[in-house]
This record gives sequence, structure tokens and C-alpha cells, in this order.
Amino acid sequence: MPAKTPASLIDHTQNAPTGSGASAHDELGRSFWIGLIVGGAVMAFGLRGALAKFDSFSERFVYTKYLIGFDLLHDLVIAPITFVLCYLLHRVISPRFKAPLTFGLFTSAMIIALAWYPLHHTTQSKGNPTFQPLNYTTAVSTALAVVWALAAIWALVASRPQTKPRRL
Amino acid sequence: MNLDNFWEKAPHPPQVGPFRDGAFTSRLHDERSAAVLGVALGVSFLVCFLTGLYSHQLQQPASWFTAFPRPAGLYRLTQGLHVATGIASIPLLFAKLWTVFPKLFTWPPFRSGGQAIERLFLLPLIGGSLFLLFSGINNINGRYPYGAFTFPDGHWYASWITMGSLIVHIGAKVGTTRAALKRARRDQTYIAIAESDTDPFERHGMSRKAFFATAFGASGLVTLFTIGQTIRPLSKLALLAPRRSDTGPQGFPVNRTAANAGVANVDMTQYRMIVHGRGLTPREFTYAELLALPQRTAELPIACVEGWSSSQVWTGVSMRTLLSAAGAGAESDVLVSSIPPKATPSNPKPRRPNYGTSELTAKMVRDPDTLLALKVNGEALHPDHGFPVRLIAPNRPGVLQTKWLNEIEVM
Repeated sequence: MPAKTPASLIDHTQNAPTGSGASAHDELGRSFWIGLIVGGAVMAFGLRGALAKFDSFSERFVYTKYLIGFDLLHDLVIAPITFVLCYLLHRVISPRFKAPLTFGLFTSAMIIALAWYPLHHTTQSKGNPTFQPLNYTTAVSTALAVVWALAAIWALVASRPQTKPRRL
Repeated sequence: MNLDNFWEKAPHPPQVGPFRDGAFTSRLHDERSAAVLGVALGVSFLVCFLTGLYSHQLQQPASWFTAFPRPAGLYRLTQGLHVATGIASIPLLFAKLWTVFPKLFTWPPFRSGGQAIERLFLLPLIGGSLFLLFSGINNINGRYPYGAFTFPDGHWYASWITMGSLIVHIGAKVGTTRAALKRARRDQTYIAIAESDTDPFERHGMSRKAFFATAFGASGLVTLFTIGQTIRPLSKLALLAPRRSDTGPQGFPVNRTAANAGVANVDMTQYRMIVHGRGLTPREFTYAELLALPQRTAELPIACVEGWSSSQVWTGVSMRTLLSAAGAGAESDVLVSSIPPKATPSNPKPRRPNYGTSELTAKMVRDPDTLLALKVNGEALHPDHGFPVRLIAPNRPGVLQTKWLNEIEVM
């Protein structure tokens, strides 16, 4: 039976934050080179097709703009905002409620992003009443109510004293 | 090729912001979190890719592919899965990107030529993944803001580019992932004992279990709130779905209305269904003559590329019955075409719009349930559902179930 060890003394070096430097597994093995050949071929098929289909400079530019643009949008806008929010959440909220609140905020953000177009009724199929047929303000509010009810239950459970028996 | 000497001489980034040592303190930015989310995303992207490949082949078949009519509900299943797994991937992708974001600031950024290539492939992987999800969400909402390219082309080529870079990424990370998952199992007992000694909330704020519950919980909920567009019993839960399988004329949705296609008021005194083609004397059928032919009834799904689907009871003339009445066999492929839009002063010679024609393979033609439907659920078709005649065939994308038919060409 292993001896009891405080969590802080467990060797987490292999589970260190990924930003802290190269791990023992950063060496690229044979699987990488096989993946590079197979993946490179799959990617080349897509690129060749796209270049043949989008034959003008403007088409290629717009397409590339979308592919690269999303990368930049994530790295320069979405991720920094998320990290600032996480930091604030970490500072302001009691650790006990951090998890349910994170769940509520993250799921709400996903729901609002997914329902953004229906909420604003932005479709090019106007005149077709079967597109976005609901009252999405009510629908999204209902979905958010479910999410926050789940978050509240989570918070309630988290606020109870820990009585979990030790696992051996 | 080891580049350590190069990086030793290169200037280091200043120790500020995300470049600062210890800028990202959460234990959740580790290989174990990345591995679990990566495996989940790998599975969902593979399902999306394979189901998308099938959908594309049905719509734009390669020379080696022949569409098959059975099982009748296969396309409904594959396309429902395509959209549902795409939606489920959104929270998982953002959770994974959050987990690995600190990697962006790792110094040195790469230590060998192989690592440089591996990191370079992350650009199309992340950009392509986000574009695929964004364009998919746009498509289910009927939004096409791209201008220079169409959705099917943009989505199709991006899926190959993304899958290619995903394969490279998997090749690079397979060892790390396997080791992280193995370690997870091995360490579970030790960590459980250790964590029971102190309050885990005090130490970390958010445990790994809570992090996965958040990511997978969000994924499950957004799926639950949309999948009712495919699975009828869950229809009432489809709060976020832009379409509902039970909403529309005659109880199911419409993608293109008759008004939009320019065929809102068909003059039934003039209407004729023309059957012609190789070696055939052209034959015309009035609507009444079509109704007088032997009728067949079949329950078939109409399944849209946008993920919604709905099963209805269709009645009409089977394709092979009509071809036989016109003196043709059922051994050839056929091309079905819809009524061209009405001429207007601004558009005196209108052309059939996209999806105004579609081809059926001989295998599809021979299936007894490939119908020229005249009725749905016992009623004449609503104009938006293709009155006077529409094609309805098993295992076929909705966009190829051509409406407002007036011409069949035996090829």
C-alpha cells in the first residue's frame, strides 16, 4: 500500500503546465514523420483542390483570410479576454464556487455564441418562416435557466462539508 | 537538427506578461487535460470528416462512387451525426485551446526542424477547425457571408486541410497523449489518497474533474439543445436549433420556398411532366394522368445537409412505373429537373437555380420507393414542398430531392 503523501509533494513534473518548457515527450519520433507524410498528402489534396477551385487572387485571398483570420482572432482576442476573465474570477470568487461559476459562464458563452444568429434573426432565407421559427429570446433564456440551475446545484453540493471517505 | 545553440545566442523575450516564467499557474494547462480533450476532439472531428465525405460524395459523386438507396435512413443518421458532433466539438475545442494556449509562449518555440514543422502545422489546424465550425453554424442558419467562395467549396477544402494538419498533430502527440493517459490511470490512487488530506477547493480552486465536467457538460448541453432537429422525440428541447423538424407547412420544414424559386403559381392547365431521352419518343403526362397511374405509398425521411430531418408518408408514382409507362426501362441513370422560374421583364430567360436538377443512378431508379411524390400524409403537396410533383427517394440528401418537377431525362 502506498504511503500517504500530501498532494504538494507528489511529483507533478510530468503534469507540469505546458507553458513551462519542453517535456520529456517533446522529442518527435517515427510517428511524427509518418503523420507528416500522410497528413501532408491529405492537406496537399485539399490545398490543390482549393487552388484549382479558387483561381483568382481575390478568391484565394478571401479564403486564406478566413482560415488564418480565425487563428489570429482566437490567439489575439478570444484567448486573452478569456484569460483575463479567468484571472478575475480566480481573484474575486471563493475557490469553493469557482468551478460551478466557471461551468455557468462557459456554457452560457457557448449557448449565446451558438444562438447568436437566431437571436438576431440573421439569415439569408428571410421569407421562409421555417428558418429560425422560435422566439429565441425566450428559448435562449430557458436554456440559460437550465444551465444556471445546474450551476446552482453544483455550488450547493460544493458548499457542503467534504465527507468523502478515503479511497485506498 | 538541434537548434539549442542557436537559441542560446538568440535574444530572449522580455519576462513580461505571458512570457513571464510561471505566468500560467493552473495545473489544468498540462498534458493530461490536453490528452483527454484531444482524444475527444479527434473522435468528433473524425466522425465529422467521414460523414461529411459521404454527404459530399452523394452530392458531387466521384467516378468511383455509386449512390445506393438502402438503408433508407442512412443519410439521416450520418448527416444528423455530422451536425451534432460538429456542435458538440465547439466547447471541447475552446477548452482544448485554453489548455494549450501557454504553449504559444514557450521559449524557445522549437528546438529542432521537426518541431518547427509541427508547430507550423498548428496554424491550419486551429484556423481550419474554427473556420469549419463557424461555416457549419452559418450554414445551419442559412447565412453565407463569404462572397468570393461558396459554402460547400470552402467547407470541403478546409476539411481536407484541417484533417491533414490534424494527422500531423496526432503523429507528433501520440506518444505524449498515450503517456499522459497511462500516467492518469497509474496516479489516480495516489492522488485520491493525497487529495483527501486537504480541501481540494482550497488548493486548486478548480479540480481536473470539475474542468472536464465543465467542458464535457457544456458540450452535452449544446448538443441536447439542438439535436431535437434530427431526433423527433427531443424536438421540444431544440431551443437553440435554427430549424425544427415539426415546424412548417404540412408539419415539416422547407429549405427553399416556391416564391423564392419563382414557381409559386403553377398553371395546372398547362402543366405537363415530360419524359424523354436516349432512344425514347418523348411522352407527356398531365397531373391527372400521373394521379391515374398505379400509386405507391412509402414512409421516407427527408434529411437536410443542415442536420434537420423528418419522416413523412409520401404517395406517388414510383420512378420505374413512370418510366415503364413512357416506354423506358429502369436500367439507365436519369436526370430530373424542376420547372424553370417564371420570366419577368428584368429576367426574360430565367435559368433553373442551383439544385433545380439532380441525377439518379440506375440503382436508385430501380428502388420501388423512389417516388415522384404527389401527396404527403394523404394531402396534395404544399407549393413549398414541391407541388405539383417532387422527387422523394431513400437515402438521399434533401437538396437532391428535387421539387416542382416537370422533366425527366433518361441518360
